[in-house]
Amino acid sequence: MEKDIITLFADKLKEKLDGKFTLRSEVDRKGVTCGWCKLEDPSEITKAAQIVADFNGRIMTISALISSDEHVEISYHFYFGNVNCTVSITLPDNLREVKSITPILKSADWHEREIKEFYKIKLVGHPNPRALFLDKSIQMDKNTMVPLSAAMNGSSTSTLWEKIMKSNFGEEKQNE
Amino acid sequence: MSSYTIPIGPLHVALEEPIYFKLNVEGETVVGVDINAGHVHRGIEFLAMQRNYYQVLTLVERVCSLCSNNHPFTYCMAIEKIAQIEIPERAEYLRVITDEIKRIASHMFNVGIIAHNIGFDSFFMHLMELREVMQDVKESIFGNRMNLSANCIGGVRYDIEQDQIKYILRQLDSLKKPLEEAIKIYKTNSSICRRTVGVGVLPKDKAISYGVVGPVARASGLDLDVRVNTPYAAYDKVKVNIVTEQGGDAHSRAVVRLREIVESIRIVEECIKNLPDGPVDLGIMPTIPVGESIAKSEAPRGELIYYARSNGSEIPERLKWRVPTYQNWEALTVMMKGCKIADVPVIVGSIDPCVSCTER
Repeated sequence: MEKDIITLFADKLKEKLDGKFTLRSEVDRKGVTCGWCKLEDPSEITKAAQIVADFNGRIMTISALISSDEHVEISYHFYFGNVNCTVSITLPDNLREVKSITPILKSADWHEREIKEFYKIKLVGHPNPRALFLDKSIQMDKNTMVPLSAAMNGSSTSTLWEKIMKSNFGEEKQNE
Repeated sequence: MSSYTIPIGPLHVALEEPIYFKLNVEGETVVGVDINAGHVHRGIEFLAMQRNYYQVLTLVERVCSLCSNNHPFTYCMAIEKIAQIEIPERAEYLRVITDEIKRIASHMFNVGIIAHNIGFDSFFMHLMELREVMQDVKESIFGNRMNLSANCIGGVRYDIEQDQIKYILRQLDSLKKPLEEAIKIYKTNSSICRRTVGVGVLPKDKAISYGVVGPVARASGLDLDVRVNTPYAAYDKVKVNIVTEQGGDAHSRAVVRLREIVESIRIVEECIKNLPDGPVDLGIMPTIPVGESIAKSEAPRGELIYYARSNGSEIPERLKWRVPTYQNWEALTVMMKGCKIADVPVIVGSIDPCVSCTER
């Protein structure tokens, strides 16, 4: 049954993809199937994602890897029909850019933003490509930071609210 | 009605760990949420790629405290898959026992925290006291309350004797009746129901599209459980009943966890009953050949996945893991839309968020 899904996936890839691909699968002794697929053309990852979406699948995670010869390889770990299927692409030389699959699979949102931030890979077509963790662009300033001591006071007095009102008022003034 | 931007976190009385929510509110109603992480990012994934396979084992146990068993457990399974190692059957059962003991303690902690978030502190204390039963088990069997160091590549590092088995069974027995009462209170108490029923609803279709996992998914009616869907360790021999609820709200998520505690107690009992004899590890430290693998386990918060790639050296070429909470954060934007500000801590608590896992 599970083997069928991998065969079905292969058939769909043959039908939808223009470029070449390789696909192998292995079944462990607990009966769990893992598929390993490599796409020749990295831009076709969106087509592969669409097939997964059609299968009611989701993405589990995305791993980027910089090989010893400086090539960037991205592995998309999909899950559909009780099968873990990894689809890998290798980015062409000097191009750190990949089509976003978030518009197709919403579950890819944070994973793509993470590879963007940690591997400097540009996402094309991501609805919200902001950094997630450490980038300077998301560092918070004094308008957004409220010290814990102030927050603790705020839980029993009006201090916190006064601070928020003041900060909102300040923002409005700046906008004017 | 005026609209405001309200910050919650990164350090806040209602949050255990630092994460920042920027809430757009109109009056008292939340209309938009923005989540900001990165306050305690530790770069453990990078560190793991600087150490050898055996050193990494100690490191991954420290990613998180509440699911500290699942990280080395899943890591070991990924490495064993690359090395094509079959671990002894007794070790598989012992791994399941450890995992379920951790799950019981973790779920107890979360349902306790929810009670605390809604201001029902006497119930919070009661649940935390119940959790101590499992903490005692962990301390007595493994010598530690949180990091159990139970796993090694090729098996486990502990064994249980007859008197320890008796002790575990006695402790589990002592949990059953108070747990039954706690579930009854959770389901019927008007204070709890008022603050959790219909709060932070995640409809089934959104649960699918956001790819949520664990009790969050199961409370929205999805029968997702790694133990059943893609079995590992002894879960192919032990019966696991997937616990689901249909409400999709904070209440359903708490009830799923409570019912899962009952299920976990049964699983530990079944494992102990069927525990095969034999060695608990391979007795060797295998070298890891070239290869790549994926291993998954059902952590207390849901699906945990490890991807490992080896180039034949002593140090992993790539090690990547995705923790369950990581997948659940975005769903908070759906749950919080339209809720009252006072519900925010309850909703955040109801996904049992683990910031230290997210900020690996």
